[in-house]
Amino acid sequence: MRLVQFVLTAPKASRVAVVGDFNDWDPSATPLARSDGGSWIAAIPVSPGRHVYAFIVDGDRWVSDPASPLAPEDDFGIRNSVIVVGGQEST
Amino acid sequence: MSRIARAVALLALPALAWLATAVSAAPIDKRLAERLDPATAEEVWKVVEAAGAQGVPTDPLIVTALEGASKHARPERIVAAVRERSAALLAAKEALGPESTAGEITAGAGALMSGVPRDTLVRLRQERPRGSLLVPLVVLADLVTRQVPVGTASMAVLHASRIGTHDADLLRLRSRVEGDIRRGVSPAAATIARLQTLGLGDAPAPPVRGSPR
Repeated sequence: MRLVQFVLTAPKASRVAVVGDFNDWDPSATPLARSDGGSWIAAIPVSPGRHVYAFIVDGDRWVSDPASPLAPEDDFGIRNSVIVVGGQEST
Repeated sequence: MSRIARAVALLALPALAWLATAVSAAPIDKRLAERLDPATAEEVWKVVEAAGAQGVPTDPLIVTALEGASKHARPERIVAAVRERSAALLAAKEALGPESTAGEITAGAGALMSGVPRDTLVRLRQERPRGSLLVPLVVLADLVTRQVPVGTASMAVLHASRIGTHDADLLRLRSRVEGDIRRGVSPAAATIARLQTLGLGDAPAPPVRGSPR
């Protein structure tokens, strides 16, 4: 597992969460913490490989990560972002 | 048979049938049961069980359903998405071979769903019959995600595998292509340029189109 930092700038948000295939898309699993300058940050362990994810702002607004490419797959109508985590595969 | 015996037998039949069902079917994954309505959870679970019986990893299917649940997708859309991923997992396993790991099959399915042709997976396994294909498959899908044409991305990863490129160097190539694209280089040009510098250490970035060399 590698520690991956997720960051979203959302100064007007009251809460932000990251959801993805690494936390069962659970909106309550990984809340971000507010940081300086309106940024929200969370660092969580993620297994090596390609992962798709998104941010949920204020409980109901889905936002893709402006710092990452969008996934080409059908995402149930809400585009996901993609991140690649390097490292050795565990067998 | 006496009337009493017949009555007992008739009463026992449903109980026996229920018992047979309960013993043969594994319980629905708790995550599905908690986050999907019962009918959808059951439909999804049927797909999951069928996929598991064919030896493909099932967690990606459950996670796909959970994604749909979180995005409030229609039940039929969730089931369709799970079936689509199940088909991709099976196709990846067939292309990569029966000895493939769960990670390779999952990454292979991701590549197929990104538009990578099945033949590329077959050829990747031929280039690397024993080593893990997780990183090449991940890099391949990621390049396509970044708008590198499928043919160029496939050629690049196959070539890198053919010349024995280490996973760390392949990941570095991916990272450098990403940086070049951010600087304005076309995805195809970035990939080809970086491919030519594989194993040559910190090669300079290819020039942005229109900028002086």
